[in-house]
Amino acid sequence: MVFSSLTFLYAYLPIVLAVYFLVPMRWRNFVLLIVSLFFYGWGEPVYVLIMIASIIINWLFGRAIGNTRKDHRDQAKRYLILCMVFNLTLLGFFKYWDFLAENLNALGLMFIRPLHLGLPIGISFYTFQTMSYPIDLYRFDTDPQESLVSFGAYVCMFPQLIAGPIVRYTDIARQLNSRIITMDGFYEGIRRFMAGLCKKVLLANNAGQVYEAIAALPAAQQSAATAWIGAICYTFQIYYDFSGYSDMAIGMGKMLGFDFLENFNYPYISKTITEFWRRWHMSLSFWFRDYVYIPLGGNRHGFRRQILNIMIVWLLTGFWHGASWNFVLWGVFYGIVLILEKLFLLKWLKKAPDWIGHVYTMILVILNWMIFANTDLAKGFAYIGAMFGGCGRLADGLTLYYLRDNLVLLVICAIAATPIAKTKWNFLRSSKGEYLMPLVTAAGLIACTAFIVDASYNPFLYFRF
Amino acid sequence: MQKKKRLIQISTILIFTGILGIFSIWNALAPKETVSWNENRTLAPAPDLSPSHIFGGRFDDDFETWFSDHYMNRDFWIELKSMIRRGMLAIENNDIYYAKEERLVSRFASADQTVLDSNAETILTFAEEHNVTPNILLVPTAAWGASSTLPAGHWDLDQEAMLGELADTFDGTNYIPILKYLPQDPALYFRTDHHWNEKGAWHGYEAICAEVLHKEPNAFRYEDASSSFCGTMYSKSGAFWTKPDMIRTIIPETPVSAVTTLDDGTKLDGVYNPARLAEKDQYTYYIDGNHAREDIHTDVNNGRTAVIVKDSYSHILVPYLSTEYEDLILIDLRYYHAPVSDLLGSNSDLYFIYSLDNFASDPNLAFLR
Repeated sequence: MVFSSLTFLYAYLPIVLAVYFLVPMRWRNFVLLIVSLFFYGWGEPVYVLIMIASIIINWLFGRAIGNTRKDHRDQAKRYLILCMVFNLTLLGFFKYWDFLAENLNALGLMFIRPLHLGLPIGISFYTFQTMSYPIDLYRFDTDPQESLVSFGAYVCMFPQLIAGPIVRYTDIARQLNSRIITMDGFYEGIRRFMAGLCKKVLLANNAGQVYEAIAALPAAQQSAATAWIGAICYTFQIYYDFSGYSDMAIGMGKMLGFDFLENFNYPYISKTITEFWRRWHMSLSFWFRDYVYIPLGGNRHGFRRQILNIMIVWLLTGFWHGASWNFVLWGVFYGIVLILEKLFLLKWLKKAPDWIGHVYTMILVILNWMIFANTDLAKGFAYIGAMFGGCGRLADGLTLYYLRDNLVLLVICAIAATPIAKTKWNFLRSSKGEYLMPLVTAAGLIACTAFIVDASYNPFLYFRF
Repeated sequence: MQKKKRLIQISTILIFTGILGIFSIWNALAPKETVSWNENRTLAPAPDLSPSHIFGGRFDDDFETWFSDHYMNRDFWIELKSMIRRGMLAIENNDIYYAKEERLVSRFASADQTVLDSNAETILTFAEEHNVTPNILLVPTAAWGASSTLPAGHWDLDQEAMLGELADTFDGTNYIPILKYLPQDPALYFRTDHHWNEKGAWHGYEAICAEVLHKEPNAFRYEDASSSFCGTMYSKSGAFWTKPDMIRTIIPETPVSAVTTLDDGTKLDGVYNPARLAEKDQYTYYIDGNHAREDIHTDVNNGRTAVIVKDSYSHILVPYLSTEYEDLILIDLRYYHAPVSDLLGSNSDLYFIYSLDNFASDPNLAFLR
């Protein structure tokens, strides 16, 4: 069940909010655990058992580490390693087994076979989340959670369960035990949720359709400009899809009384790739920084070791996004650019006018998204070829068509990718404009509902006849 | 200040939770439709609640399909989405252009060259094997005919060029140069449907008279049969604010009587089925719509037969052609897979009548034998 579905908006969410606010505070973690397990089980009626097992095992390891970390450091370390092995095996088995088997088989090594098991929804997110708990415990960054219910509520809390942000246990440990729900918080939560829903339904989905239409054109019709429009649409789609989802998660978190960390900070206004990765999917970057890069030594063991560490992190980052070579390539590419920036590019870019930095960053980001978008590497490169005039034409009538048909959408996407909404230009932030909030909320919800209902509109018309 | 802030907060919270709550309850209580008129399809049935289905891995998708298929006031939401697209200055919705004069026109932006080539090859091979000269009528769609009404920035395939290329491909057959007879005029196509209308079809008839029958066309007059026709383009575009079209009966000045026999044996008096005017797709008024095979017998005592392999563009031509042939046999290759060659006799003319977009995408011509 995704947030932008009618089942979620008009059945699940109202019931959950009603029950959550009707029960007394001390029952709320339990309610949250039950409704979250239901949410997960709705889409994964079998794999929900893995989720439950993962909760119990990580909680038990947490207790063991908590009991030993002070006086029996070695013992605690052994527990920590065992716990890591458990989580990584879970992730590795479900996400990477088939990839490994297929690649080995392709090399003629037949000792393992692909199993074609479905990937449990959100496993990449929740294993990373649960791993943060024993590590932070071991490092004395947090204390053990006494209540299995509260720990379970943390792991599978439905707002951030399937697409992040990756919430670290330390970040919400306090709120898990006691939280205050205020009208300010609930109101902010609604605003945030609506912003996310509109991003996902009105912007991401529509931009995505344009990209898909253009990517499906015969090669002869993909003029350079048309291919760029497609790539730009994908660039908008992935940003509004992902950040919209994070906004909805953060918004619902606020409604329930939790403060999740921000996950996106206007990444497309970056002037360098280094900056881009400080603004894009921040919870993942921080996770890799704190749990991989720094433990590997970060930049403390000389430059050559630092380069190695960066490459390890980016190989893993790429691989985390999916068990396929295009994601690995996508991550490695960013690793290389980040190293080049550290070596000399950052200095150059600092001296250059701002617009050069913006153009440089966005071109690299857009091109790399085309690698990301196509699990079939040959298709990705063919598309990039088209962006550089592979079909022999710069632009044509079809370019004009896509531009004309989607002009307003593209303009809105471009404006909304900048922090302009946080300035005085945003009428809704002015003292008069604020009165429009209730109306804007209603309009946004109704417009999104229309687009979601329409997605199921499937005229069976013998249209061709 | 604090009071104002509270007021905004409370009203926003009430609106948000109110819409979610009220719509949820409304939706749960609203009577469920089983058929969507506009989509011309049966809506998804309620998901099966057996454990094997719930744990089978498809339950969530099935539930969502059912839930959204039956979301209350479905047509309102579809129309609202189309309105928002128009408001955002999009020039199409679901690939249907919002054209001028309340006209809805299907985009014709892609043709499958493989299908096109193999369709042409199929017909040429058939002609050679059975030693017949087929009469081929391919009709350009409204994206060509009504292009003067299309919004700025539209992009479609060049149908004139396609027809020109096909003329070369079909060298040696009687390929009817339709563009000589059919003017590029929006009035020759329905506003809310993808077919040509009775005026457009008249030019098709005129072309057949000149290129096949070598005679002057007969005279006809028209009577309104329905003024509430909301065609396929109306449904697909979601532009439900568009005013409906007119369906007209085509009446020969010299009366001809005809009996249409459908593939299930049902007989119709004439070439119309008036009962169809009460349905959603009123275009099926003409020869009762799509059938694998239809036989029309008329009192034109000339002993001639027209065997027409066709799509639905031909249906509105039949009233005209039924004044020229004693027998007409209409074949829809999507459903009719028996040998068409068995239908051919010494006194028969073989026609292939398709809209151009369909001819460039329908693989069912492969069943021709």
